[in-house]
Amino acid sequence: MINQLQEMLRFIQDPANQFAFRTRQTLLICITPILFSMLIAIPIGILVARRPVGAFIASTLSGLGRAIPVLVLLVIMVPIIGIGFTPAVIALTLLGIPPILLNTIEGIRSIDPAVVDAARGMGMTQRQILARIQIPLMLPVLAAGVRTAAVQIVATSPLAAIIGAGGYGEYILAGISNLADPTELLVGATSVALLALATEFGLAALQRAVTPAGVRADLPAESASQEEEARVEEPQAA
Amino acid sequence: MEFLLRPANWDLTDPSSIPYLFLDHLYITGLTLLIGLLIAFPIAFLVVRYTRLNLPVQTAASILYTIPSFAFLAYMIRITGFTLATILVPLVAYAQVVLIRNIVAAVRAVDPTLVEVGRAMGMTRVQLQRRVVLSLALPIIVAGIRVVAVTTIGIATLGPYVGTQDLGTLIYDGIYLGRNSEIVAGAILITALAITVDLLLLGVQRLLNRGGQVALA
Repeated sequence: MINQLQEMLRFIQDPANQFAFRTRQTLLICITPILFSMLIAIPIGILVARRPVGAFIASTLSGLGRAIPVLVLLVIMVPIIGIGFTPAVIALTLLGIPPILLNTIEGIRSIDPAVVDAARGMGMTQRQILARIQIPLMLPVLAAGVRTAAVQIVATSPLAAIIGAGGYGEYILAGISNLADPTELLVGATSVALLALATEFGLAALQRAVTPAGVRADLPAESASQEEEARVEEPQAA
Repeated sequence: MEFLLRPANWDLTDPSSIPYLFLDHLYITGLTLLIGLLIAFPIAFLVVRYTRLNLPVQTAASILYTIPSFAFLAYMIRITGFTLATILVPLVAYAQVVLIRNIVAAVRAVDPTLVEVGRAMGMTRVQLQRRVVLSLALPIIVAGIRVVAVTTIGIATLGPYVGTQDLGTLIYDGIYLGRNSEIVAGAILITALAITVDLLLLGVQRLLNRGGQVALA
């Protein structure tokens, strides 16, 4: 086991294997779609959230988004656009749009109009309401959507190698045919898995960071639930 | 597009023709669901019974889920070669994540008052499980099966990379032989299969729901 790990480290350090280059490729293949899908999905979400067309989009997208297998999304780009970086990025962007769009819509919808009313009653201007009430309330849900999209994109990125976009998937593809020495395969697989984990935990921390303190106290987290139950019991005892 | 229309590809005597690849894909999906459920149900009931198991089981399942599918499949080759097991093990593993969480949530969602009523009516433990808990939890469980079925159909598309032929073969061959119409054919068939299965199971789910969510007034 230690031997294998040493082999992997040796593999990474060997410049012939271009690990740094592949890493850059993977990061590019992942970050570009995440940014683009946010750029596309968030404005659309904000626009349609309070309109009936929003509900329609939501239900259609959740159905479609689940039914179309991701590999199909990637390969269907080949006849249309070709192979390489661009079709992979386009496919991954499309993959990331549904979670972000749906969560933007839901985040805006979940803002209790009574809260906005109360704020207006307190004399807040429209801009103050936007900045101090609506955005902070919407942000956690949006962050959750971005997190889901990001992890999905990172987890699917090795498949981009199948259509010629490079990245860690290249190590996996090459490693499949090499039955004698699993090092290349392991380096590819472990790198992607670690990247996916890092994305998941990193964005989870970000999500917690953008959750307003008041909202955070209400969330049914594993540790917070006991405090919540204790708090609920008090008024009843009184 | 032409690939779909060429009759040679639908030849039932050729084991690599479309109908066979289709059935292979169904077979893999069905097997995954069967094994997945057989494993998930006991684990889920254990988790419901002993709530302390909840966190460790969910964490283990989440870790499994983070392993990107392609990487998992590729690694399985080292252990099981290019056999059916190579595609089945990862598929079943991914299925567990959704199924266990889903079954646990479904069983927990059953109104305990109804269980009380059943016990008051004199039902035995087994009867309670079968007639009350299971029948009420079934629609939610079917919803979970739906998600797993569609995801499995998707990941199974990678079959040819690990030696199992199914509808993914159309895509695999298409890419490596540069035949665009084959890629399109594969994409259309797989998506059609996924959507059909999704709608079918949705129908089943709705049917089960209508069977009665009894509300105690």
